Amino acid sequence: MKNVLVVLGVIVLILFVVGGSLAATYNRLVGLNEAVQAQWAQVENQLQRRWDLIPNLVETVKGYAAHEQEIFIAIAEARAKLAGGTTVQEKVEAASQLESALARLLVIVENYPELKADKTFIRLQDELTGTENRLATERMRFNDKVQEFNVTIKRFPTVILARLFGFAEKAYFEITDEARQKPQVKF
Amino acid sequence: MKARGLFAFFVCLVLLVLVPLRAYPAELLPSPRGYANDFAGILDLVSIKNIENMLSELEQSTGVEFAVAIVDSSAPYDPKTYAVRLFEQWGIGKKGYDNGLLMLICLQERRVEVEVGYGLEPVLTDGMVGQILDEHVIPHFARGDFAQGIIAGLRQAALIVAEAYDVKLNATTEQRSTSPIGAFVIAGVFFIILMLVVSRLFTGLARKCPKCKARMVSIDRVIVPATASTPGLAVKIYKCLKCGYTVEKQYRTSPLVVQSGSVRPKGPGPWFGGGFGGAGRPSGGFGGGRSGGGGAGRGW
Repeated sequence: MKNVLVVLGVIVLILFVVGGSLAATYNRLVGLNEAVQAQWAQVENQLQRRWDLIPNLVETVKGYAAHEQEIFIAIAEARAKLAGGTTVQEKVEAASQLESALARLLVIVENYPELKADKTFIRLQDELTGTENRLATERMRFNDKVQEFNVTIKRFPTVILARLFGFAEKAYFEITDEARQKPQVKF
Repeated sequence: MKARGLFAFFVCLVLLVLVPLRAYPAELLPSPRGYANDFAGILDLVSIKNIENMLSELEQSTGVEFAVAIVDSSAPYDPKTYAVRLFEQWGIGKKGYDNGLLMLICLQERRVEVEVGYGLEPVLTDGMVGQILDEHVIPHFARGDFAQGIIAGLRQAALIVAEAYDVKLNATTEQRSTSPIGAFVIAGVFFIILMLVVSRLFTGLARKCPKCKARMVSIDRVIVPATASTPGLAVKIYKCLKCGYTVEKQYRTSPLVVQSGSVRPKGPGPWFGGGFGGAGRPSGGFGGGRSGGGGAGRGW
């Protein structure tokens, strides 16, 4: 009788410890998942900010270089795509397309010295550069959070629990080769 | 034989467990010393005092924290990334308000980067920061006058912030370096230095040559000049005028700025890389504000 009690006690204790650690791991995964999502919201903020800036920039450039139609169309297309995108993957693609279109625009600008000296243009250029910097910063922080999440759910023994609760590996916000080659805006 | 194999196996196991622990890279970025952080040693004492006065007044009246950092080079990062990381590590601005600003000057790269905290972004937009740099900072930097460029730029930014917070600042409206009181202080300092040099000369004369017992003269020569915050290195040379016997003695000179009340204490403890920043991380006197790459930069 006494033996049975001891065995029962041990079993209860083991269940308690295991259950506790399971709950702690699960909560940690939930926390990491939330952090990734919050950081993605920051990235989207900056994408939105860039999206809002572009009409002004395009208008200013048009004032000096109205005949460069091709680039304005490319920017408008990329912008529409970004607005229409719903998944992370779609938005990342549209964002890099927009990035390369903007890079081409900045190359074109080099041919118009009067435009480069325009006060409004300088201000917009600063805003755009600032937005690119912000985007780079938030993207880096997003990727850090994703990495932390991915590493955690792939580790043993967390991997078992992650599979059980359906925590899947998350995609990084990769910079495309096109975007990586974009010329740096320097004054 | 079998026991030895087993032992080796266990040793390997223990090593495997122990080695990956704490493999964080050493933090490359310096700790803050105050509002003005001249890590390259290019600012004079009066300018540093002016900056400290101006920025401490700004913080007291608005809660906004400005910081300046001058580094020789931003390596291994590019200047903007360095500014972002430095801002992150120092936590400039008050926690929750994120009302900080960092002006980073990279001498080798010839770049000035202004990083604006999240909370100040609506007040100091990128376009405004760019304009401040163009109009108040770069003209001075191009002439090599860093102190004037920094002070003029920060003053302009501080005025915009003060206007947004609806307060008036004293230190930003007047030029302290040209006030008569400042001149008196400088004259006083020079007088003291002169007295010290004279008295050193006399004590130097009192030293006798071990060879011919004649009196020796001493000359002080600076090898590495002291900056506002780091000690310098100097050498004292005793020379016997009679037989030419010389003795050299190296000594450290003290930093120009004494760590007083207005200069905040250094950040304690290590900073743990990776993971979640935020809660309770020591940030060297600043309030723990955050930034996200806003602001503007210029080369000169």
